Amino acid sequence: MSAVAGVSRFVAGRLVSLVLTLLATSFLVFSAIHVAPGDPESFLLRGRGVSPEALAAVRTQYHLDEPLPVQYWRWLSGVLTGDFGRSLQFRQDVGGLLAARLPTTLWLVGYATVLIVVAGVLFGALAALRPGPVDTTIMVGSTVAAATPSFVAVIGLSAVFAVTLDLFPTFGNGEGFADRLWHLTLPAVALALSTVGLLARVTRSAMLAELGREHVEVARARGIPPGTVVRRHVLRNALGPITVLTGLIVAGMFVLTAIVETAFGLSGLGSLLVQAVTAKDFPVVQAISLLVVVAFMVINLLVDLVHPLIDPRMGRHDSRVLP
Amino acid sequence: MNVLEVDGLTVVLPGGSHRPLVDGIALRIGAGEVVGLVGESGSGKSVTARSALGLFPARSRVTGSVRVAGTEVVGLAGEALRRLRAEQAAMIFQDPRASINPLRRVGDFLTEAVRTNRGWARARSRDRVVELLGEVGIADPGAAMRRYPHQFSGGMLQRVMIAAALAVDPMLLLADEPTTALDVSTQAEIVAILLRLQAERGMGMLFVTHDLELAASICHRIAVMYAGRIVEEQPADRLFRAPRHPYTQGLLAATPTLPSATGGAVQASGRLVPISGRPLSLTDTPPGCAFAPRCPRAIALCTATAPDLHSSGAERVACHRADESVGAGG
Repeated sequence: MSAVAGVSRFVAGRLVSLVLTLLATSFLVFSAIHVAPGDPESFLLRGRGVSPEALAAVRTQYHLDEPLPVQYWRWLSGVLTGDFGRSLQFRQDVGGLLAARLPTTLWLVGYATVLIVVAGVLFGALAALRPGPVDTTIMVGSTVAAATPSFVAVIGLSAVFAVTLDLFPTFGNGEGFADRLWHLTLPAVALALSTVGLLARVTRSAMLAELGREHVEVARARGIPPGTVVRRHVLRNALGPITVLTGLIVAGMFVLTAIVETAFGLSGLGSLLVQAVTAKDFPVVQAISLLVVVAFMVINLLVDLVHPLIDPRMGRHDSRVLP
Repeated sequence: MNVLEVDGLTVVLPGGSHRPLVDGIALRIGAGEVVGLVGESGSGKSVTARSALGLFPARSRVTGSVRVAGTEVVGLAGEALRRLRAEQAAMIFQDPRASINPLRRVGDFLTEAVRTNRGWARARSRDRVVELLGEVGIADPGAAMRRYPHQFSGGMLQRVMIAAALAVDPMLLLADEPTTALDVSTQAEIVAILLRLQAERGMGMLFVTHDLELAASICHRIAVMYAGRIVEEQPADRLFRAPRHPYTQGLLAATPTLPSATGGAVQASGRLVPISGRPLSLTDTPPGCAFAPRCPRAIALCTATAPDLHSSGAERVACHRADESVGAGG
């Protein structure tokens, strides 16, 4: 009972700070576009020379003549009711635009996350448990992968697997589960490649630290089978850093999708963001930026909630020491 | 039958000009016997105790023989070594908090060995462990099993550790400074529990400690180690009354003795006399007796050649001057 109360108090506290952070970042996101060079109205007018009267009319139509705080308040109250404004280049609701693009990005990030976690933990564990050539090979490989920017990975992957070997498509989202998976494989690999090595490294060092712990030696001294020792005592105890880093990687991937989606012609949020930035389509840029911030904070909240499950010492439940 | 027989055990770390961690150790423990292994840090007592479980330092070179209940441990590996650890011998370590996985429930730790090595069902292992927790004096064992290690005090965790060691019914119990990390009042309780369970089950026990007085009060026999060698071994009461090696004499003179609780003549226990000098480091490899540089009775012979461990009856001593009569204490 007290455990439940403790957890809900913790969650409530985190939600309050999440809302406050969102408020602050939403203002930054909103005002940033006005600090950036170039006016939205010049995009609206597509460089045509117009009379000052016509310009003023456009500014009034898009509320660009109002002071920044007023504009922000107008935008924020819209966002809170689900109205993100209208896209300047597509002439349709930003909300609908995002809803159509969101699934592709979520699929891509989810797919890449699975790849990163499976490959990263596997290679990291292998490196920790097999010192010598296996360890060295994995570490060199992870360094090369980590040093490869996403756009280089994109070019290399499509050249080899899509163009030369013709195994995967170079373009498009795909329909249905299998087709989607097939279309998203190369983008997901490109997205995963740079961070798999990072996770492998962290897994390796966390596991090496645990391997040196006394309780692991005690488990061996008790005749516990080696596989069980690794699973229950080494990997299990290394989960803390692995979870934290996975959270950061997933959150960061929402930004990286911009490159990968554009390169593979996927119509997700990332490619939309690139188009919107180029076109100075500020309602879209603001909405996507805000979504990325939300995704980042929600993922961090999840990581924080999972942590006490991994390490009971961090639990907010009863932790009295018995005499 | 001897549950532990060590003969000529020598463990050398790889590379360099180190002296062996332990050098030519010979030791026997019979069923139901408690043998103390006493020495200061780095004397090789833990290395000796761990050898019974085949826990040798990484890449070290091991020669000699260690037999646990007749099974040769040196050279044992894989499944056979695992079975020895799972069935014949169990160890209690110095720091229970470091020895138990902090992220798993105490019940998981306790039942792990019987469940994985004997394939016992959950209910059977639980019943067994609950019974053992009662025997080591943990109130409400059922609740204790659901708790995490950080919710226990050090003394309680050491009881858990003892229960875990006993869960596999070992013939040999290795206690590596089991009370050093605990406070004094808890130490006495833990020692009492260990001795009671050892006697009830007729296990052989190797009790490793740096505390000669503690060893003398609970062990049948005591072996004193210095710089990787056994320098003296005697029945506990004799060793305490008539130590023959100058190092043992020095240890006793450096140990505060409490006046007996029953009153009597409260003797001022005299001044404590520390042993002068420093323990030998691992890189010191003197040709003669390792203790000679600190020995008040060293003669030229002592620094030239190392004395052998001579047996006579129940006692063994490695000192060139052991046969000269000296006043106890030095």
